Amino acid sequence: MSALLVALIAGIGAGALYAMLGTGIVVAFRGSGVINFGHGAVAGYTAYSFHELRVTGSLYLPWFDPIPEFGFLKTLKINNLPVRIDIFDVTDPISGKPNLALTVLVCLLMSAFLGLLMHFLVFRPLRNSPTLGKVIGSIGVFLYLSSMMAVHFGGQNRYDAGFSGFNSTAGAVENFLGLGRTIPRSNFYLFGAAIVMCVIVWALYRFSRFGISTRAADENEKGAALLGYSPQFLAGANWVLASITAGAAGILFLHKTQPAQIALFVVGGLGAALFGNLTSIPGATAGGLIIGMVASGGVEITNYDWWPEILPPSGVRNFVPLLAIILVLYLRGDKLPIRGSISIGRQPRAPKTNNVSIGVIAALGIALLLSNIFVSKWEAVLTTTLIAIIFMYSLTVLIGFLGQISLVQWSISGLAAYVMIRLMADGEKIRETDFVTNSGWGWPTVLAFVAAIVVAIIFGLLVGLPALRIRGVQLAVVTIAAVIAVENLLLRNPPLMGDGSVSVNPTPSPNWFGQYVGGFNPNTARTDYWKFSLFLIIIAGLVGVGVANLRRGQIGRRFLAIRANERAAAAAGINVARMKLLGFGISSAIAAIAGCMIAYKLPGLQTDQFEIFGGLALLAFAYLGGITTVWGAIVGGCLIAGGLLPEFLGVHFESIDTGLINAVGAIGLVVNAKVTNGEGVALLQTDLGKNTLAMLRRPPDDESSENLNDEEAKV
Amino acid sequence: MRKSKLLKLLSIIFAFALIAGACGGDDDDSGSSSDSSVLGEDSSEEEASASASEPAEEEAEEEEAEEEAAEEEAAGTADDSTMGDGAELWESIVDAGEVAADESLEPILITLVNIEGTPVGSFPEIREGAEAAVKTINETMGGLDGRPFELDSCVHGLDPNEATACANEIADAQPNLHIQGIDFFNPLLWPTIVGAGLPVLQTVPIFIEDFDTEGILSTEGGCVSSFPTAMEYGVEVLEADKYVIIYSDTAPGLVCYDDTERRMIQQLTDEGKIGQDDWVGISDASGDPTDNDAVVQQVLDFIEGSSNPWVYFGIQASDCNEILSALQANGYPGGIVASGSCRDDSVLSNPASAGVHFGSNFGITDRPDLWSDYKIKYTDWRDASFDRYGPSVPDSAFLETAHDVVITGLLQMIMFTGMGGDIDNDPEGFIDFMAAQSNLHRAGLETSLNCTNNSDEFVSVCAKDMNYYIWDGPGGQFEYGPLGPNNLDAAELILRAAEGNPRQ
Repeated sequence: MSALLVALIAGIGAGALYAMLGTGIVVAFRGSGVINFGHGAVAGYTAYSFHELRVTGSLYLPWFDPIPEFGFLKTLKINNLPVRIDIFDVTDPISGKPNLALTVLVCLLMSAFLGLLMHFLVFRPLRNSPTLGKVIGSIGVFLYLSSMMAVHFGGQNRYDAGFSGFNSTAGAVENFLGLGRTIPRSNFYLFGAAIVMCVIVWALYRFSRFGISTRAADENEKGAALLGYSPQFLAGANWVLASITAGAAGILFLHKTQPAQIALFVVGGLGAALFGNLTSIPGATAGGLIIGMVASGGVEITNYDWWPEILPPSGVRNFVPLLAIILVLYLRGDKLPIRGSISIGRQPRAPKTNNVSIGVIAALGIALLLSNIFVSKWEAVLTTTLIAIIFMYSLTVLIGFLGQISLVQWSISGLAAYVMIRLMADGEKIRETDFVTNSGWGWPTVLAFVAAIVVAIIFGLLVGLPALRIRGVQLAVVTIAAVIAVENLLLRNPPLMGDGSVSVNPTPSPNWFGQYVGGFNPNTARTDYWKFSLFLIIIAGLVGVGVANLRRGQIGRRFLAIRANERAAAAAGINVARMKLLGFGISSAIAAIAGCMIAYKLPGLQTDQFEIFGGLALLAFAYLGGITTVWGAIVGGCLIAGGLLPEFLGVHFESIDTGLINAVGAIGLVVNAKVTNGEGVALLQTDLGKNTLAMLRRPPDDESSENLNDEEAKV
Repeated sequence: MRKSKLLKLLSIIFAFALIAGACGGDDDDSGSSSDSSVLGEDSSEEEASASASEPAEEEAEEEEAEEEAAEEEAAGTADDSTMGDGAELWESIVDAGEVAADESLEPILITLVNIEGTPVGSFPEIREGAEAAVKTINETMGGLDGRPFELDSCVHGLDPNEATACANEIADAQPNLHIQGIDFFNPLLWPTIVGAGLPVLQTVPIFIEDFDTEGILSTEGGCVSSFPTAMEYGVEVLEADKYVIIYSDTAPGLVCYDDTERRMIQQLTDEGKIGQDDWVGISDASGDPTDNDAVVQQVLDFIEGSSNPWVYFGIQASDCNEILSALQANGYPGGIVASGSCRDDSVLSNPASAGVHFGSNFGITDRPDLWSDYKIKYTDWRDASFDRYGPSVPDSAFLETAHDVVITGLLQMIMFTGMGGDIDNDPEGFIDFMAAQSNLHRAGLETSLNCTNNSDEFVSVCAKDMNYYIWDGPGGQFEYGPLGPNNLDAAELILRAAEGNPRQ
């Protein structure tokens, strides 16, 4: 028992990180109504900056130089955008390492600068966007800063001794509370730091004019504006404050973990923020500490002999705190804060897809043509694109039509794939190169495929239940808990999913009615089997037609009504709960089809493929293409990493740094959120095409007379 | 391939600059000198070497004489009998002086698949190491019978679809040799790459599939050399009375633990070398700091009452750092052994790393005073290779590994063709040739490798030995451990475990 108690208490060290991140997320939400998925990345970037300053004396600014430094451009001596500033002279043998306090100050200024940039370049322009636009903006921030970390700081691990007391040299508290065990002294320092941060931020909100006006704007932005407070100034100031808290967390935890990892701890931070109901700083701090303690105590408790094998320890440790939060949210769903804002922009248009059959025939023709002329690499690229398109249809239905921001769909694809593999496996080695041989029930391909979809629908409905009481961005955060549940509790679970679930899970050879339709061609030993491409084209076509018809039919109209206004939809006689669950079910079924297709294509799967950030990237590209239309999914599928467009660009612009491509993609995401409001490239180009055609068709006389009329109207 | 294109572009620009300088410059002397200095620094084209060799002849002659004298002294450092077949060949090529490959001949195609540009993992040093080696081969080693090497890299992100597209591309390209970089999707690529019948050399094997697949060859031991030797080292050399194995709960970590740690120490247990209750495996959630202190509590509980406890880290460097700090912060009193993957600059700068025994099969790191003449000569030569190339990443073990694996590939090709092999039309013969090496020289390594004494479990691994060196602490250096300069060979233990504790 003492071991469990000590393990729980020891968790306050890591819990302090979640508490600090949670505090910052709450600050940003109160200031601007945005849940920032990039908050951890701010902490990570600051941590990298701190280490770089200490070691090289240089500060990397959070952008890249778009002007190439070679060839004739170099000879032109164009003043390139400065990226690195040498602040300290670390070669000076007398001063040695830069002054610690000064370094911390510079880094906190850097994080404040990041906050300002986020405000002015991302969230201020998106202030009137629908919730999804803001979510996409924050995903863009995460992707951009992650790319900048890779470009500026590379993949090398970092170590910094940090501050005395906060690091491991502080030693241990022996025989803590007479329990006969030790606890690192540094954990108490980190705990103290989280509490101090909590008290400062709380006091700032409670007692200062800035805090009171922020709270006022949080509750009623219009009212605050009428009282003379600038909501945008307040938002900017809160972004700065939130980023400084993130920066402080990054610097304090550099000795405990890697900066790149800190960026990924945003999930725990989000859990902490939800614990505080997205409004309470002490609540978020307590939530973070509890998450850390449960995660640490879980190591001990899951080590007991009686612990059931079917519950993977790491999955339980990570999921249980989030499950508690979900339950709390579900029970008090009506009391969740919906932050007020002066105005909320219109939802993105979701026009019907007309001429579906012509479009499908054209798309199939092009795809077939391409699949025949492609060499094997491009065949693989084509199938990657098609699978992504199928998956993005699921987002079109759930997010585009129904307006439910769910981040779990990608995990549902993984769940379906793993279920299908387990059902099909028969204990036989599938390929010579496989290490794992999976046992299973040996079901026929089609039956396993259908069963996997059924399981996915059931899981999707379970995830959809909280959506009956939680909506908007809170639902997005709650679905993150479902992602963790799927990955850690269901997929990485040998008793449930077989031995392959903790390794590379070998995928069986699929046969539909006697025809092999796997992606791997045993004759050429390449992932280029034409029957698979054809199969995928047919599936993608059918699903696309189905989604287009769904939008045109009664269900689609009801979905859109709910998306626009749930209360109005209910007043019009629409059963909102049933429609929401239907949407989750349909979307999950489509996601499951995509998951099964991935399993058909690849020789094996890994659980990491279906983690949260992969899903976020897919959502981002669906949004870029156009989240509300079938054509948007098609464009989005072409844009994803490994899809047709990036691979084409990769061939023709080989020397471009991959990290920079990701950074440019993230910028494109934010710009798209502002410019097209989520309607994406697909509708944008349709509009452009229509306008151009209209302009071309218009007789010159009409144009001049119209101009005249305009001028008359102005007069 | 990227660099070569860039170099071609640069050379064209420099050529224009030269013409412009020659046509329009009033001051011929200054113009030519600045041009030649630019070429000497930045370009590696033939014109560059030609123009650079003209000036300062007297000084150059003196320097050359000194260099020749030094080379004569250093000559004959390699010995095939101890370093493997190919060591003397390398030395003979290097000693023969710089010879450029004939660009007009058909190139030898080398391919590389590597992960880059993702926040979770990016290893540009692997690609740059290979590019540096190819540049050196082409500019100083004369290529393969005068044929230049061409490196075609397929770099991808953290996406298995991109990885399989790369595998298709490589299979279509039908290279003379494929170098596998660091890739988290290796098991998904082998069906295509092996299925295409390509000769493969790995740089950093990660998964059990990387060691178990016939047709690919690894001159790096990975967990097959690290973990079994670590079990022997802890049990037999250090004589630990309590031995804790911390392993990662990632996909390769779990499988590697079960296959190459648990089975091996169970074998030693069955042989009576350690008690069944005197060792334990504890998993660590990779990249998660929330469990570190709890993991260390389990370690402290297990070693209670022990007089000679040891902990072994079979985990990656970032996790090593976390656990090292947590052990120190909790007052862990025992010793620590760590795999080579644990050793990087971040770990070595952690004060808690003082006294840790780090595994390495490349000899003692950064101790030229303890190196053989061959090792010194090779290291200097490799440094010059990097200088010639100018990597954009700092020197690292990965950079060196990729470089040396490509050089090893060249040596193998030379020997294969020397025996009448057809490198263009007989990939199967080349694969068999490499797999049949019982005295293989891995460039830069002082001890030879044996690819033939494998059980049927680890068919592709040639390196199964390792030494453990003691790190003084930040700012210090490595010292010999109890093994002195001699490596521990796990080949016997692996064979015994295959029989006594086979895979279930």
